[in-house]
Amino acid sequence: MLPDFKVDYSPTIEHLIGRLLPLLKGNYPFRPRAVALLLLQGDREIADLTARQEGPRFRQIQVIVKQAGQLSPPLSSSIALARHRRAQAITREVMGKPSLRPLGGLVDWLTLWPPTAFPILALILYYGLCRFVGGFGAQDLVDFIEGRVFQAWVSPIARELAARWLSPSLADLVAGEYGIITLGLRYAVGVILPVVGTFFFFFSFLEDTGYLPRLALLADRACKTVGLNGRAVIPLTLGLGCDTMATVVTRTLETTRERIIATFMLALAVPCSAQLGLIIALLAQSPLALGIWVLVVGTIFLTAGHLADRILPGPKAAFHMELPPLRLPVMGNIIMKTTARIQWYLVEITPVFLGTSLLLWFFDQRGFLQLIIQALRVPVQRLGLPPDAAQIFLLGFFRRDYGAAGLYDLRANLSTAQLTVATTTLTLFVPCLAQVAVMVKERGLPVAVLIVAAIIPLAFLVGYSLHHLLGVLPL
Amino acid sequence: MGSPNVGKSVIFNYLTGGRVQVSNYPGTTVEIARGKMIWGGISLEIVDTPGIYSFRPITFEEQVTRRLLWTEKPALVVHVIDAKNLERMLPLSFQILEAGLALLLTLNMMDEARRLGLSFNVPALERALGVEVILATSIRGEGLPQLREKVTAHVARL
Amino acid sequence: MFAKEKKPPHAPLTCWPVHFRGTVADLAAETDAQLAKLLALGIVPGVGIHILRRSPCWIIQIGFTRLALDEAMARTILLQPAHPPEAGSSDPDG
Repeated sequence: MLPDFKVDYSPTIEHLIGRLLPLLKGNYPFRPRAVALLLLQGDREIADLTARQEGPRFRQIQVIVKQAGQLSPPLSSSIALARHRRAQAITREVMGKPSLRPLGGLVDWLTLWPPTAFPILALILYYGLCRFVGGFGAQDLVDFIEGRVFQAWVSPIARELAARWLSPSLADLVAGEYGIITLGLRYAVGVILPVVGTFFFFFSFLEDTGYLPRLALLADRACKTVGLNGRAVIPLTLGLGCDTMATVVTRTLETTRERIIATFMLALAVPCSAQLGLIIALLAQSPLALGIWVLVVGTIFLTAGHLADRILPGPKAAFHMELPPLRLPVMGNIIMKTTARIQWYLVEITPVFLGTSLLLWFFDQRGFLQLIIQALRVPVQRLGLPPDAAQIFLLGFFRRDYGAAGLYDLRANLSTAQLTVATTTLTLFVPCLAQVAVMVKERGLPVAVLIVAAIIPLAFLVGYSLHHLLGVLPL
Repeated sequence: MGSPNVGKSVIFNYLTGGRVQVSNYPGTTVEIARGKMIWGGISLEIVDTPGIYSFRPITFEEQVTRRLLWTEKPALVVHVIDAKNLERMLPLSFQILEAGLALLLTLNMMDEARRLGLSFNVPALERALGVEVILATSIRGEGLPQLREKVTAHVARL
Repeated sequence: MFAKEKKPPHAPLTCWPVHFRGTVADLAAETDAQLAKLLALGIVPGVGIHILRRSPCWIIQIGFTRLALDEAMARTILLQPAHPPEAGSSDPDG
């Protein structure tokens, strides 16, 4: 029934297979010949399986495998070579004469040649992140949805209805200061969704054009300085959209070492789009303040990454990536990918924002909230911020972007220097609850705890130093 | 199954009609999508595996894919490859065949291959491997109804 | 760069100029994992490689695929000048 396809390997290999086959009497998921080939290539998992199946015969098997391991050239290379030869022969037979010319046109070349590639990269990032996400998403859309729709319509109506139909404490839950609608839904739909949505659109656009691998290879050198390689640019950039999603995507990195470093960097120094958009909006009035923020966060990113690279053991992973041709994006594909990402985001965010509102409401009712905020006032005042800002840091823990959004509400009362300190500290400060949850799930509890324990004091320390530094500068 | 970025998921979505259940492989964070396909009176479970380059796993995802082949004992493996890279991707087909699994080879992304001026002699390829071969351009839906027919026919024969 | 008259049997990919067309002579991977990665990517002795760029990183073409590699990985690929299509190639492989 099944075709008896066979690749003929070199006599040496066939001889080794021939010696192994009579010893493989157990029950295997693959044909004995395939099992023998994997054993000969030193496959651990198969060896364990064989050890269980063959009992005493495994000793003899090990002897043969050991012999095979000493061959030069390595056996896995010879096996791959034999397969490749066969593939080549078949391809020649069945594929119409290919005209093998170098791939890539002029545009392609421009995105790779460093003197043009880096300016193009800068332009893409400027228009994509600053103008489209930061300007259109974080300002125009937020102004419209949050300002026009929520502040003017949804929140007042919710307050009105809640006051009429619900008991005072329940009304507070729905439409109070930390209410599900007035805080949770307003931040989620009014502030965060437009920013994250525009970012995901931008990211899907880059993905669909085939630009992402170029981004990876252009960033490879820079990534190496923080112990990563170009491959990490994809999760790190995605982190600018949503750090939680990006932490999940660090899976695509090859070694545990890289995954830990990337998770750490995402938690510490990569602001997510909701945060980023608001920060840019908050600091827009003062280019100097924005510059200081970029400088401080950038320095922390490089220093912390460099240190992590030094501290964590293990070899650096080499970089390789397939480079697909650039192509015109298809709107349908972009919209499909954007929608899928927004859907994922909403599924992830909804329970968290409902939970956050619920928890805050509960704490507020019991007076715990005041206690926590009271406790946070001391470090917050050390940063030269008004005591009210303590609330922002608390919110920031539940969702980073809520923290920044809270800051947005407070902005009128803060000086530029205070805003700079607050935004910088919030950027570095603990990742949001969802991100911590994903960190625990992906990296395990010890690593996650270690990362968080490293970040909190670091964030406050940097904020504290910055506060004192800025005291000297005229801002 | 197939290497990363060859259009596996599009084909998977077509076959399952989007009725998909994503789960984590036990004890790992590698996501596996499963879906049901009902066609011609036959109901099948379809599994979308993480990308794999070879049977000798390098990454964790590849390890999971290989373990799936053991534990699920699939009735048929649909190996999706990028048509223009036939030569580079055939070795994985060989390994599927060596393992003794039933194979349906799908040369995907035919639009790109044609643009490069490539053509394929399907009967010759079928003879060389001893399995059925399908040409497809999954993003445009080309070849997918045929794929569905062959999958159903194969399972009906069991 | 190598002098022509020396006709080196093979040299790491990183020693050859851009636009060079060669065949993989050998793989100098240090670890088994590195070797497995190269083999899985289809970088196998006998395969033709065309060097397209060396900066910002190495970009090579194999068949109809372009691959970007960093210096460390490119160094493990040993190339020799492409010879005319091997007629009934008989190189040993085991």
